[in-house]
Amino acid sequence: MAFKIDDVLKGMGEAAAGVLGSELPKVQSCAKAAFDTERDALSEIAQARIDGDIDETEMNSQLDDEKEVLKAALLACEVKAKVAVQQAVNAAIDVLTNAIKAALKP
Amino acid sequence: MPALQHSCRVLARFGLLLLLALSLGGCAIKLVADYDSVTYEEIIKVGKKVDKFYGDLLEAPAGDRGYKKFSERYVDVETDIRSLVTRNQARALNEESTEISEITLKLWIKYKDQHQSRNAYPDGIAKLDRKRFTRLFASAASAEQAKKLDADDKDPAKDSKEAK
Repeated sequence: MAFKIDDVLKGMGEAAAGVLGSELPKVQSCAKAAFDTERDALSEIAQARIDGDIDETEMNSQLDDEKEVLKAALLACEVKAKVAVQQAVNAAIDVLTNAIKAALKP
Repeated sequence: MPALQHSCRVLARFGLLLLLALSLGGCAIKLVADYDSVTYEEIIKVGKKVDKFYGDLLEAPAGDRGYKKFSERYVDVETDIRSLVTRNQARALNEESTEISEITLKLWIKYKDQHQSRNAYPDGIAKLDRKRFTRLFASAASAEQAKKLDADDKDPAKDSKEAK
């Protein structure tokens, strides 16, 4: 079977795009959820200060900790993004591998 | 402009050759660690323990929340979180999960020290801190869960439970 590079490249692009198309929305919704949850947490801290449950120093300490928690939430999204890229590249490589195997068949 | 076109062509050829080499070698790109079910279960277990700690603390009357009463449990949980950090550090391509567990440990120690120095843990602060840990463990679980690939892609030998 002939090895047609243009067809193979097109197939690789389609395979990668197919994976990214289904996986990237998960990354987007992960980041959105992280910021939505953070907004709620910041509101609770502000409310606790207004209600007098925490003082100024404690509020600042809580806000510092929130930066760390948001970072952790976004790190989890980063893993999802890396998994998406990994799967997309591997899907493209699979197309290339299969095309080469087919071309090598007598 | 011709120089730019030439550079693009060279890059494209290099990329193709790289992919060709990977294909012929039967290689797959790997950017994240394999899913580990033991780590996942450990995250859930330690998260539950931390939540129980705060539940018990909030049940106790505010005047009966001296540090000494809780010191043993602080050490117990700290050991569990340290174990999670070590478990994550030991796995290649696992920087994000390692960092999440390090943040969790850092905050646990910070709140332990604050409890010790003020010898009290007011309701307002405890409720906020409890929720913060719930979110941290949820992030850790979500990061681990994301590594769970389709049956075709995963390597059962890398899952410490399945490898036993």
